[in-house]
Formats: sequence, structure tokens, C-alpha cells
Amino acid sequence: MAWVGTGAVWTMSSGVLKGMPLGHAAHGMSNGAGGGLRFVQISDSHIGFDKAANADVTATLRAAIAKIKAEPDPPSFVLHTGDLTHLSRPAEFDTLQQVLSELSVPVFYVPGEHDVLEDDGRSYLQRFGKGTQGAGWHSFDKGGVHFIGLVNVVNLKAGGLGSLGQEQLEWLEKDVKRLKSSTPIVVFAHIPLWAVYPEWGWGTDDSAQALSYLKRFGSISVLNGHIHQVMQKVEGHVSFHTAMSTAFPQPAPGTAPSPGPMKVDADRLRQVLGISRMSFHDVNHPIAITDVPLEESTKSAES
Amino acid sequence: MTGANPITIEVIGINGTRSFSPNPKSIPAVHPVIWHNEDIETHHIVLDDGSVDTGALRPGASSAPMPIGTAGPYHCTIHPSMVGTITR
Repeated sequence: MAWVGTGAVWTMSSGVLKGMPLGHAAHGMSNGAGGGLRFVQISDSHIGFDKAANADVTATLRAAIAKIKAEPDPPSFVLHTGDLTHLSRPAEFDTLQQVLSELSVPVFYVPGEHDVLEDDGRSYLQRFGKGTQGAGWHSFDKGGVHFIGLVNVVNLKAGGLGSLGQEQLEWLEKDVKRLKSSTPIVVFAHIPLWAVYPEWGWGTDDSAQALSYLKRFGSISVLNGHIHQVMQKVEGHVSFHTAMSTAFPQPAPGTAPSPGPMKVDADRLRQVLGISRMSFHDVNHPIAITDVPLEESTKSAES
Repeated sequence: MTGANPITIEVIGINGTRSFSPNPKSIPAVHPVIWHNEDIETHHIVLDDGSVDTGALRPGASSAPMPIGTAGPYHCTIHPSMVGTITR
């Protein structure tokens, strides 16, 4: 497990992550001279949250959207990895949709636990579940890459963590059967599909079974949210990554009595919120992930 | 049957068996239980046997007094790693 500071680029090559300063990497990526699949991950917008950790989460989501729109190489689409809202209220979903409608590219969603607090997630599915299965899982192909959106926030078991459930696992096994082993796979879900910190519920009980269906593939990237901070891990052909929130940070595992919104100095908040920019230049090259804070720190990065 | 003072269990945060206080808690059958959410997250407490369901408890909220027919383990449906036990 490696801690990753914001403002760094991580490139996976032959199963090994390589880091470089953000400016260098951004320059290199924009020199890609066309081609390649670019997309952006945003996560944990928590629209409706209004406590001290961030009294205006709509403003910081708007800042994230502005960041995406200002990209010199626009993404083809955006993934939202859940917790769109804080309390699953209709007005919160309305605001989220209104803000994201400013994007001119498609947005693909999976729910977080905060999006299914009411009515067993029916409101979420009515708005974002078109063309999905079950509680909202789905897959699609873009630029030679197979994307799989999984739901691990419903039907959870006492004492357990996130859960995919048997129905979804069977669907996943069938979904990837038709694919060549050379197909790059991107899996996105809300709760991490690796055991980040089970004491805080930061993991998914049956993720190993899901990943067993993918082990024949040469390139697997797993993108998650939920923990409101960037973390990376590589296991064989699988690269795990969690994204910053657009709403508020959470403490590092074990550094507080429990997880939850963490208040930081106002002038530092936008340095710990942000988006993740992804790039595939072609299917034979690794995914590149750039974690981009809403605002860069004026201080030099700590090692 | 009713009339005995309810006993309050505090919902502290997402932290395994330390998510509730006191935990475990011995509660005679005559006393109903109130779960009070002290945390900054929304929680939803159910007895594992399904006999008690608080509904969503927003930060600062308390459940209605809930009669406990059969003592046993309970958990948060939103954060299932939060577990507690009521004993007799």
C-alpha cells in the first residue's frame, strides 16, 4: 500500500506504479498528439452536506466541473463513483443533476451508501439507473476498454463490509466471458474493492470472488471512492485506486476514532478535494492516473 | 407492559464493536431502547433477527423507544461493520 500525495501522476507499467510530478506528467500527457481515451473520475459529492468540514459542497462540485471543462484535452466521459448526495433527498439529487448537466460529455454512475438511504435506492435508480441491472450495475465499452460499474452498498450483512452479492457476481462472470484476455478492464464501484481498513468498513466482503473472474485479463484498473482520499495499491495485474472527494476529506485509516468529515483550514480545503484524470493512449499501454486537486498547494510537495 | 424508562444507547461512530456505547448492554425486557445518533453520519439500526428497525437516524436524531422482544446482536444497515449486542 502506498500513500499518494495530491499533485502526482501514477503510471502503471508492467504491474508497477511509477510516479512523477504533476506538471511533468500533464505536459507529457498533453503531448500525446491526439488519440487515446481520456476520462475523468469524480466521487463523493455529498450534495446536501452543510457542516463545518465544507459548508458549500455545491460550490466545490462546481469547481470540479469547471476543472474538467478547462481540460486542454477534454475527456470522453466522466465516471461518478457514488455518494452523489448526502441524504438521498430529491432536492439533493436535483442539485447534483443540475450541476453535472454543465458537462457536455456523458456521466456514468454507481451509487454510494448515501444515495440509497431512502426507499431502497429507488430514487437513485429512477434518475441514474437507465440501462442498468439490479441495484444499478452495468458495463460498457469505450475506446477498446471494457468498463464495469459495480454496486457494493446494498443488502449489506451484519458485521460485514461492502457487498456485491451473488446475483451481481453471476452477472459479472457472464459479462466478461465474451471478452478477449487482452481487453483492458476498468472496474468502478463506491466502496474500495480491497481491504483498505476493515475496522472502518473500508473494504468489500466478496471482492476477491469478483476479481477472480478478471484474473485472466492483463490489465485491470479498479477505481473507487468512499474514503475521500487518494490511495493506490497494485496486486499482480490489478491496480487499485481511490479518488479524492469533491466535498470533504476524511482522516487517514486509524488516525481518528472513526471515519467522517474532517475539517481542515479553509485555505487548504480545495487542496484536499479534487478529481482523477485517466488516460489510455492505446490498449497496449498502461492506464495513467493523475489526481488533480481543485487548487494546487503553493508549498512544495512533501515526500 | 409500557411505562418503564427507556434506556439509551449512543451511536458513536463507525468502529466495529466500539461503534455503540455502552456495548454490550444488559437491558431487562421491560425497558425499551432508544438509539441516539451522536455521530456525524446517518445510521440505521436493526436487530439482526429483524425484530427492531429504527429507520434512518440522521446526526443528532434519536429513535423512538423500541421494545426489545428478544435480546441479541444488532448492526447498522448502512455501515454493517458497526455491531452491538443487547443482553438480558
